[in-house]
Amino acid sequence: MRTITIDPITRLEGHGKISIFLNDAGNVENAYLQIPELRGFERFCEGRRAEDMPIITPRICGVCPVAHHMASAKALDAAYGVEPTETAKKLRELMYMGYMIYDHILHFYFLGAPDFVVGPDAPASERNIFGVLKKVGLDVGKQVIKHRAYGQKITEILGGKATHPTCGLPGGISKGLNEEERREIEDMASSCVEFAQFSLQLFNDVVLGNKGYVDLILSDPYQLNTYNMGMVDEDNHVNFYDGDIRVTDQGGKEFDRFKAAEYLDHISEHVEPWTYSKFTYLNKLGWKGLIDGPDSGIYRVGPLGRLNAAEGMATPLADEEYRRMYETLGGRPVNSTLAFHWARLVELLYAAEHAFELSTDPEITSKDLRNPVGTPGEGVGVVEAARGTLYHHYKLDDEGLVKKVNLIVATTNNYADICMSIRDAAKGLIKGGEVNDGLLNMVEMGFRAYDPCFACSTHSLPGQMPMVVEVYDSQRGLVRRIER
Amino acid sequence: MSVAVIGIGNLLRADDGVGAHVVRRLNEGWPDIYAVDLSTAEIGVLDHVRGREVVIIIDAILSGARPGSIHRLELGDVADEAFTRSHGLSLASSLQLGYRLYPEEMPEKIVILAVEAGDIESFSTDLTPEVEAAVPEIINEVLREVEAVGQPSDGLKKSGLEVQSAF
Repeated sequence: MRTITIDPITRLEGHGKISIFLNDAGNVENAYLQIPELRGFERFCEGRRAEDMPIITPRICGVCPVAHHMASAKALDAAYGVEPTETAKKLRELMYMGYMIYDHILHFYFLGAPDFVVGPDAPASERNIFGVLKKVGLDVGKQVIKHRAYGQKITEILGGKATHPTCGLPGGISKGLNEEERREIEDMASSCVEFAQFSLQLFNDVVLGNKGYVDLILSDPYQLNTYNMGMVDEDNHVNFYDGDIRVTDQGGKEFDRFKAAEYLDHISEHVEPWTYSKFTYLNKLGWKGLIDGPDSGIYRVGPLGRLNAAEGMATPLADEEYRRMYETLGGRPVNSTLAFHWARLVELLYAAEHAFELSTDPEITSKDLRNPVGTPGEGVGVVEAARGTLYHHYKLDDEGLVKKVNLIVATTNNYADICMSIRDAAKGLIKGGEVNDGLLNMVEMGFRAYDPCFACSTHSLPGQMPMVVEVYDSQRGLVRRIER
Repeated sequence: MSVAVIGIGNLLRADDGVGAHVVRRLNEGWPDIYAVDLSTAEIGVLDHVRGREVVIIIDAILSGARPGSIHRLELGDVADEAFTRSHGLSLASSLQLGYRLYPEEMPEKIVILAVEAGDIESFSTDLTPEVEAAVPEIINEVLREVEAVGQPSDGLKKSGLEVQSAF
């Protein structure tokens, strides 16, 4: 058997390696993304004070600290048997919208847009934000930076710190909003609504206006026929902060639905010997290996998973865009991995609209910020992180010290899907042992759509990110190496 | 005249957190110096460097040198990073983008103090003794830069942005 190894994933979000295995005929048999697990992190948390968890867990990951903070605060609500006040819930949610705004803007313009705005066939040296700016102009670049910073500023006003929020406490939030801050957020949110609409228009003009791109989105290597998971409100609209976890099937119908506390009855983790990370699957169907289809328990999370698992968006403009996306791509569910980018922009618009709604809510400046906590016990907190469903599960002792921690992060939920997407993209480009030079980019595009995040990252320099493909013959001799 | 100090790295991964440790000590001992712990270097770095004259970035490095060694680098030394990362932009690319979009607001000088790490794998909020021993020298380097600019405080330090570690 030949092995092709791609090592494109920098230290920045953790270490990983893509290995593509060929069969004797020289065609792709399987592809694996090897990533490290949070080895040692759970143990690191044991014995700590429960109230430190919302401060510690955001440090796991440089990318989604707000999601960890919020899942942690919600797990503590549950563990102490307390519901936050209405105002506290709204403030938490408002902060969360700020996070979604900045994260989705960052992903679309810096990671998604290079492939589409500059083009999937453009040289790697141009497929980056600088290439995007060359196409769309520096003024758009300034709008990107400005609105990303607005999202960050919203989380900072509410969260207390720029990158690592400190506001979430069991039963509520430590800091309220004054009228001046409220007005500032209202103005920023309003501007973000316009910017989200602009971004959808850009996507419409550049991507949907180009038949080649639409064909690429709908092409076979990027289709994955899995179940979809996401949190929904009582109207089955996408909700990032709270609600039921809903799973829909290949026909778009509800297949499973559960509360955060019941998650272990509905999903399980599977271990493979070649990777430290686990795979999640639906208990009703079990683990059937890296295959899609109705008999396999694999599901997708993240922007596309969420939109597929819901029936609409809770805000009017985003709901319109939601319907337009499904009309254009042939109805719900959409199984094209590259549609993650479109779904992300629909969610950006929802986050901005909802931030505006919350900032103008009469209760938002109330000082009723916290309810008294009960006695410590066990609790599960779930949120929709930008990359998908995030579970925090804590067991506390009588003193409120952490006895046990279980985390299922978004990328773990998507791990099987990412491996399959890599495999399918590679299949089209490796035939009879011949490796097409487009391999790196096509594989990268499949995997970038998920925005995978290897949560136990370290961030040290130098941070080189070589893209290397090595092709070995059946004797494991190196026959080809592609590098850039 | 103003200086910003930016710490990069994961506080939970031993020596990877050296930037955060230095920022915390600067906040405690020299509250007039604008110092922030940004954890991951991404485009958000621009929010802190625009309008500054000198920016000092503190990060861990793995280059094979003796743990605790301090490498003094310039932007050009790390500027050839690939642009397609799994998330956002690298530090160097983010700063380059800043120079492209806001040439009039970007610092005249960027100094990167890269500290050779011993352990970035363990979950720990403590530095290894070798890196811990280098912290005073890193702080001295920062103070020398601040002194060279001639005005350590610019009154722009924003409350709430500094690291207030729980550890």
